[in-house]
Amino acid sequence: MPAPQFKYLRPEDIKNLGSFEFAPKALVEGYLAGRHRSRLRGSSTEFRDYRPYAFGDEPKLVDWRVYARTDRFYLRTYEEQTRMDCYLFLDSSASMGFGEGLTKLEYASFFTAALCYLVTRNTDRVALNLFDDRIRHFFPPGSTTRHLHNLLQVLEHNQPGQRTSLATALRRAYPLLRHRGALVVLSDFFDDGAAIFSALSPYLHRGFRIFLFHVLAPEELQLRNLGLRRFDDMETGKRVIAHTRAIGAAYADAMEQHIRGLRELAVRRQVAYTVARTDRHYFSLFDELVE
Amino acid sequence: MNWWSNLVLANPALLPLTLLVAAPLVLHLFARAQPPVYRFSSIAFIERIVRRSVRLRRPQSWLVLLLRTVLFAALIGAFLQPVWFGSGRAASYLQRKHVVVLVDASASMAAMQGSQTRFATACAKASEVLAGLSAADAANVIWLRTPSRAEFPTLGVNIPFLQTALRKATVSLEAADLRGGFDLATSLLQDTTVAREIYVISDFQRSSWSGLRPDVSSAIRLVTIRIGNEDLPNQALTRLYARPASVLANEEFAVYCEVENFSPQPTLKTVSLRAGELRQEQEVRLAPWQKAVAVFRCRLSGSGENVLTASLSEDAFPFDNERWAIVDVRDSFHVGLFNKEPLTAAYWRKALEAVGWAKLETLTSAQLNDKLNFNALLLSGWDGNGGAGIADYLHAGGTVVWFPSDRTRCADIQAVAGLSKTSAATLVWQPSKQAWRLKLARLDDPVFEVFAGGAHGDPTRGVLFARYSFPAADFAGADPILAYHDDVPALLHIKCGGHLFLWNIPLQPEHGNWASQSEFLPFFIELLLKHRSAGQPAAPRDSLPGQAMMRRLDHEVLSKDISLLTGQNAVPLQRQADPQHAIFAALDTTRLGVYRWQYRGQPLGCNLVNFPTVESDLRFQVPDTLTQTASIALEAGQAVRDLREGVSLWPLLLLVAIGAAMAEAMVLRKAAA
Repeated sequence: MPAPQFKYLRPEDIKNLGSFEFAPKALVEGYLAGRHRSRLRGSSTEFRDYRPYAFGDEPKLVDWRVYARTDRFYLRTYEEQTRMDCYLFLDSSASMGFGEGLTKLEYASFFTAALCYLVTRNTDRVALNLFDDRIRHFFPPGSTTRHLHNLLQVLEHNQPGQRTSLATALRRAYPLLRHRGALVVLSDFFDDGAAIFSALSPYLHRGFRIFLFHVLAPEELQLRNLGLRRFDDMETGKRVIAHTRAIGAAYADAMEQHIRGLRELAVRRQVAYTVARTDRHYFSLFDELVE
Repeated sequence: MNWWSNLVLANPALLPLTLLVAAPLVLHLFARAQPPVYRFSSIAFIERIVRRSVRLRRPQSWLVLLLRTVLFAALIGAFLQPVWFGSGRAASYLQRKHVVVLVDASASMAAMQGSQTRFATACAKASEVLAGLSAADAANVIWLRTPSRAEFPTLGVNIPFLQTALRKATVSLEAADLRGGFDLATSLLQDTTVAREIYVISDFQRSSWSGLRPDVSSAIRLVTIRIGNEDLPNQALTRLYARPASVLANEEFAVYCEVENFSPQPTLKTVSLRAGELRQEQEVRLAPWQKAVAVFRCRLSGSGENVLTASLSEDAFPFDNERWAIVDVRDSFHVGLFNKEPLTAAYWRKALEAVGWAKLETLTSAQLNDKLNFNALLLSGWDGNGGAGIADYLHAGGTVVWFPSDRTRCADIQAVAGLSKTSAATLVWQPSKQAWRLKLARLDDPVFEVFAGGAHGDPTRGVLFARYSFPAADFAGADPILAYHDDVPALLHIKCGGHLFLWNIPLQPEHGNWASQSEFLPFFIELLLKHRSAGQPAAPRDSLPGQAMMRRLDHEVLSKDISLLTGQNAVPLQRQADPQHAIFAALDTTRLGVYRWQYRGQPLGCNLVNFPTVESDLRFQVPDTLTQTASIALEAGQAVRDLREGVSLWPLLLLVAIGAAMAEAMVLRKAAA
């Protein structure tokens, strides 16, 4: 039976992805002791440190040799090896449908598909959240090939939806994430930066390693000189008439300022932030994940 | 007149194009209503920018719209080819017309204005006017001179001839006969139904044109074209005369040179006078717009007509810097003597014979009725009857010293003096045993000038024992020069055209010793000299340039024997038809200077042609009376062809369109920045 063809993960892409490995230096928690270090002290063989005995601790964990020397009860703790859970949040709002040739959603879908493949290839688990102003699809973490195929099929049928609200989506998705891991958000971030990072705070507090990919078409960074145009907002349907030559410079400034604001917030919260231009190949984005 | 009546569209068929002026506004509105749609991911930023810049962009949009409207309007205007007749419109090229061009050829037009004379500029303008005429038009040129003359007797179609005449014309130093010129122009334009135009090309010199009110029909379009755009400063000799006008040989006389400053600046000028072999100079300081008089003292030895030549130091307008006058110099003082009372006449005769230069002629009663020509007339013992010649002589400026006879009626004296005969009194001889003394009654009389220093004694010295009872009230307007101490006039001066002196001083030895005093001789001689007659008034010898100069001879002469010279040049003469006299006239008298009449090479007399003083003031001012009459007034520097062709405005409109386009580009670039 031949392998199924997917729009966003073609055989040549799989071949090119052979040299990549998704291994972020993130501490994850998982149910399977594996290749990722976990901050949970558990039943692995790698010693972490000692701590005093507390009521409720299992007596078997007491290090009797230390007791013999010091006459105090100390417990030996070990580092727990777990599987990594990677949560992919893909913005599927109407604005992601913008782009000439390749839309932002398609670009992000290519990257998402590749990331899903890389994660599952390492037997880590990947979860996918498609959202606009609500959660449209949420696939809990999985690492099987079937799970991968399901994700690829969903991506293939995914269409730009309604208005976007990343902050709302983040807040709503938080209870669904049972294990901490890597949180990868792909969005055009047409939302208030402060609200977004406020929504990310619980994730950071819980120890998620967060990667923000700001997907932007080149036309959004620098308006093309089209003359007088009626700009229709793809999400709100609002209209405004302007001359691209008249507002081009001011728009570029405003967009640059928006990106700078997001970047400053990300640096302050130790969140990785990357502008993903749709005119550049998405493979370059993997570099941001491994650094 | 509304300004748009001076605006003509050369392409009126394109007038509907003016609707396109609204095109930018329409395009602006439609372009704003339906721009192409551009679906964009989020317009939040764009909205914010637009909101922020709308306050700035809205005025810019209106400015751009305005500039585009101006651009369209200017382009459409350029296509319509408007022509501007700022000074008014002359008859069009297609309209048949009769044109008379009045060209000012007076002396002031000889002034240099720039690199050429005003007259040359005027001729060029006149030629330009004629060049605008078509073959169907008729024209004539009138020269404003003395008198004004036309090139053609009627209007003519030979325009090239008129243009040639304008090219060859030279300015004269004549005054302009303005009224005659206008009358001639209107007479030429009578009885015609086509369009009529009179062009007046002049410097409109203030002193000549002031108050002129030309009688031009309203059906005739009057166009004034002013030459010269600034007042030229000038100083001129405006008058030259000698006092007395007739002098004796070697007698001192005064020459008065009036110099006038026609400029707003004070100046210092040198006046030179040449009288015979003598040349004198004086500096005169001239205040702005004022005149000054230089007075020279001269003596001439040669008898006859002597020419005085005065000249002024050089200035920009040299023609009025020289002037001439004639002074008559006589060898002797010609006195007529009527001696009915011989003793007084003997004293007078004795006094005159003592000076040597007096020529005495004794007159009879009959001769007193004839025409008299003397420097002075002495009447001793005349009773006032039958002296028609004396009255005429007095009224012609003669000098008469009259010692009346006893019982002479005052009414007769009044009749001789030309006074109304109101007195019934008579003069009665009054001997007296008591001595009467004389006193000076009028100190400022020139007779007493020689006595002012005391060198010649006291003219009142001596005593008198007889006199006439003189009713002074009957001669209220007369001035006593000498009077008795009781105020009875001793010598009464009656001015009646000439000078009549009533002599009431007995000279006989038995009646006093006044005549035997040494002061008698100088007093009597001074009385005659200071109040002398100039003799028979000569025919006017001064004339203006261009005026005919006449000479009448009482005897028959051949025309070839008479000549008139000015300098070395002979002036052509015309003989007038007259059965009794030989009258010769010179018509070409445009040259300034001395004209000498000669009969077979012998001098007959002189005539003078001096610069017309009215032409010296080079300020211009188009009189209000002419401005109100004129349809069009063209200022100096304006092109004549503009009257007929106007000024095409399309290049200007094209420039405006380019300017509007550039301004629009600048506004848009600034908005983009």
